[in-house]
Amino acid sequence: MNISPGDHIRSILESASVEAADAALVLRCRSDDQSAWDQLVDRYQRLIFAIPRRAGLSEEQASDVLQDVFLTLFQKINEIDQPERVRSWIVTTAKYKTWAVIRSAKGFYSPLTEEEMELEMASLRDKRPLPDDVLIEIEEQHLIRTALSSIDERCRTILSMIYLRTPAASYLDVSKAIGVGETSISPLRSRCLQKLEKVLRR
Amino acid sequence: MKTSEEKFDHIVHRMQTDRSVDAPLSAIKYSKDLFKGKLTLARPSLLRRIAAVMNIDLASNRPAFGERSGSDDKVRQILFDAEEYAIDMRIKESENGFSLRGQVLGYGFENGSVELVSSSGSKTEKLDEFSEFDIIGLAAGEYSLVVRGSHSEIFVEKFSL
Repeated sequence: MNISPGDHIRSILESASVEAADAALVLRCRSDDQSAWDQLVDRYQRLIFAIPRRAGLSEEQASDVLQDVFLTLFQKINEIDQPERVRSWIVTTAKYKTWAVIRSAKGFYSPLTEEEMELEMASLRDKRPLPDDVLIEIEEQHLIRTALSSIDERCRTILSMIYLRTPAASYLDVSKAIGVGETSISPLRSRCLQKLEKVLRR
Repeated sequence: MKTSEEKFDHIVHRMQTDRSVDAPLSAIKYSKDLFKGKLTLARPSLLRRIAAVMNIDLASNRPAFGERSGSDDKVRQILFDAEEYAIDMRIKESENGFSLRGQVLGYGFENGSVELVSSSGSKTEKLDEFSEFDIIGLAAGEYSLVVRGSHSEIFVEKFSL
């Protein structure tokens, strides 16, 4: 299967419903709503943690990056111009902070400001260890996880058992788990994928 | 334009190659607790607000790097970084409870104020001309602290006595 980012992917990454939900959380945080901040942390912790880990940092270093990203977000929550774009802000900040750790570990000079770091990164020919397609993949996986958590429990169970288990659950096992006949699983699976895709497309 | 089948294949592929895991609980807790400090210390203010991050916590009788020996006193020293500032805090336990002495390192906090907040209330003291403070008679427990200067305020989210 040859998977490459296309129009569909870009439309996932620009999902209006996700952006609207993000914007609502940021605005509630500005009104001192602790539960909104908790939701923002829950929503983004795995995405942020994945970025330094994919770049090869240790669990401890990745935890430091995560905490640093949330500390910066906390300090700048009132200054983010486009609250609906907070995911892009988070990914970019995590990327910069990951680069800073890598460069500092190698004894390189680490730019002090985001602008300086951006110029530095733009001039690099070799984008490893965080090329753009890896960041797109991590972001898409985040959005698919978010969408999966928002669909009904039966669909979530069906899709998780078939696609996320190793080895994948048989249709017979799935039918027992949700209490329907085995022959219903294939059409149900298709319907659930449609639901998931619809959430991503909104 | 991708067909529905191609879109589903793409989504399934992304699901199956997702190796991401949750961050450690301690890191998540730290991140959530950042906001609690804001709520505890929130005040209408035009000052720049800076979160302090613990840099060094030296228990009593443990000499800092470069010091010849630890003190005989039961003094715990904690250093917090707050962007271009730092707070050097010393906690001493005595028969009358804990005392908290400290100094803000950096300009703009001379003759400012320090507020200590706990679940049982808050206490405000003046900083002297060297940006130093001294608060005595404190009970054991968890506290937040904010120091206010002419342009900035620094808050220490949580520490224990």
